[in-house]
Amino acid sequence: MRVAAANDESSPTAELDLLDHRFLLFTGKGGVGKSTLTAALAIEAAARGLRPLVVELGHRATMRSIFGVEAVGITPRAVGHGVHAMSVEFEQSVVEYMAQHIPSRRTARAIVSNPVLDRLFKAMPAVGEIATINILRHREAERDDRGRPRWAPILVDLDATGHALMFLELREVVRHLMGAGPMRRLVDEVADTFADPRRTRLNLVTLPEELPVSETLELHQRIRAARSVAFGRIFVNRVPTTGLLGAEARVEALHEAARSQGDPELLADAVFARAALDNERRARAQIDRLREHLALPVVELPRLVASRLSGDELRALGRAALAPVRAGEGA
Amino acid sequence: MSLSALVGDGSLVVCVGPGGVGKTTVSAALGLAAARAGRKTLVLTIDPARRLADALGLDGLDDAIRRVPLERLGVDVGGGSLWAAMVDTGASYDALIERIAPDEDTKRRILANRVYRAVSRSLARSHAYVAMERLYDAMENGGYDLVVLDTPPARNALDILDAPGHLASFLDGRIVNWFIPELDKPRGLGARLVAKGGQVAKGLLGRVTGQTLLDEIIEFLTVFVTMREGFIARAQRVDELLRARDTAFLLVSSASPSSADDAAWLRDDLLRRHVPVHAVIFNQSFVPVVPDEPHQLRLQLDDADVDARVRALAPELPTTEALLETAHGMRALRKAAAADNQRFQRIVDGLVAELPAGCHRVRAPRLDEEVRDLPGLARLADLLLAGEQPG
Repeated sequence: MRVAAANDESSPTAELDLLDHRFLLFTGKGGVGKSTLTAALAIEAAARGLRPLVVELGHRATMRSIFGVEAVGITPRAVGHGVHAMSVEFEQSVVEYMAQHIPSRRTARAIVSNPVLDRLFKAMPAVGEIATINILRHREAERDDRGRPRWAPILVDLDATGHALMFLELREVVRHLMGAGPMRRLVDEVADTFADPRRTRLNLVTLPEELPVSETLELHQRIRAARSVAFGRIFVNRVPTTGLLGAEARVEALHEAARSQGDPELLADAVFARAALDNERRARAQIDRLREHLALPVVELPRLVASRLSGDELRALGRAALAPVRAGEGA
Repeated sequence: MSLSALVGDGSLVVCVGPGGVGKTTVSAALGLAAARAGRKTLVLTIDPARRLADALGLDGLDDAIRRVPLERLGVDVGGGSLWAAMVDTGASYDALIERIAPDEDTKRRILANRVYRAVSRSLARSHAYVAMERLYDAMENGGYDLVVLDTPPARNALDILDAPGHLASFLDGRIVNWFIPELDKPRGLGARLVAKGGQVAKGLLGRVTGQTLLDEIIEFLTVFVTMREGFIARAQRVDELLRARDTAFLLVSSASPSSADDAAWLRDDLLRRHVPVHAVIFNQSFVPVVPDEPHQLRLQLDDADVDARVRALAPELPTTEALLETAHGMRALRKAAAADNQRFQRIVDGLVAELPAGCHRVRAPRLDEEVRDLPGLARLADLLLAGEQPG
């Protein structure tokens, strides 16, 4: 099947609601709040009557702690708010892959439980990633008793940027490494799904700071050049708001008067407000930079400091993340 | 040992922690503190953060170890010096092969092998492995008083502790014998079983991955096996180095709930492996709310007095509704920051509560701007050394 060119944000397919895609991929630098955002969007998707599945990759326990459940494993489980979640570890997925590809069940079991072979498979290049996309493809193919996709959308928390690139560039890696065979076919199939803008969107999560924004712009450029996936939205987390933009002159006047008349508390308030305003202006400049360079919807989200967000707070975040925004002007 | 004592006397400091908490910057700041204390210090980082190069006053940071121009700091560091390198996984692997390959032919075959290239460039665990190799080399041959190792972000898996054994296990004798049995001609029943296992393994791999990859794996193993003993010996020595008594692990976190969750996983993993955590550093973990007291978290202020304070500024500054509103906005902002500080303090307490009594805790404030030069790094170093809280 010929696939429409990925990365073509101006195509009519871009009009599709973000949640209407089969796969929503999320990536960004560590610590920018990807997982919370992924969970929030899943909750909002469920509230809109969809059947979201959150998939987290790697050795992590983030979804477990966001949803406050005992454990999230390789089988999807309900985690509350109408959301299902699963956690895929490379090693487990290799075992599952082997079990699916070895004709005799008994041989499969023997091989998977053989410590030496097991270690070999786990150490082999690209095998873990291939086994992981194998699981994603199987989840995508699941149907409910009415014949509809069992999971829609599937929200994949790709963890760090390098991780995301590895998945998106797997076809290239495999091309140099493997001849025709089931692994190669699987990679091609999933790569086609990822490259189809009607089925998959990659969302970038970042912070309104210089380095994270630079890295986001670089990642965007690299993926855009590879044309391996189309972009969805750019989410800017933790945007500071002082509520004092426009009142700068009064802050300055208060600062000046408090200093000349020796009121230390008012002066401390004003000094703090000035620094917070500087911080807000720096953040605004970084968001402007994103809009200048990217022709994608840039969504600003507030800074949330609660130690655990409630379901309602997460849903509100999800709604804010889906609100209509204008796209940036970038090429 | 306090953080300043560690910087003055330690020989290896390993910084572990989740991503996005400023671990690389903290590592560099600690290295700078040691250099200022007169020590020859190396900071080894894995994170390709270009900002760090700028902060160190270098025009770039790559696989080669470079001297940081501390003279730009304008302070006397005595005999101290600071060196830095960013481990480039592919380049470091290639350099390792160059160093240890027994002959030109072996070197050429390895460097051209596709399995080798994939292992050395695209595997997440390769970063940890090669960082350990670099660490070992620096500790053995560099003549440094202190090495600060900034590890790749990890969650509950401490890749760096597993890394030394990883490649060695790939070169496990049984695996090698399966694929290249002619190296060790089958003798007796045991060996025949091994050979049989190898045929099953080969058949299976051929089925799943195709013949091309299988051939490359065999080539990889055939060449690598000549260096197997060396790899295993090095893996053991690196493991000993990491577990040496004077190696200090620092857990670096921020006070955000998700970083603290990840840090708690790391803490438990370290404890389970009997690796002592020397200190927990909470970077960017509060906002100073009292002038000239950067470590003061609390604020007890009466909102009612804002009006009175603003009115007292007249006639120099005439009181208007808008002015009052701005003054209340300023006060609300500062109080909200103090309330956040309290919440973060509870997260910090939760993380520290599970650690043994001797573990130090250090808190550094959120800086107004990212660290972008040597004086900025020196300020962070001062804040870290002064930020020790009683355990």
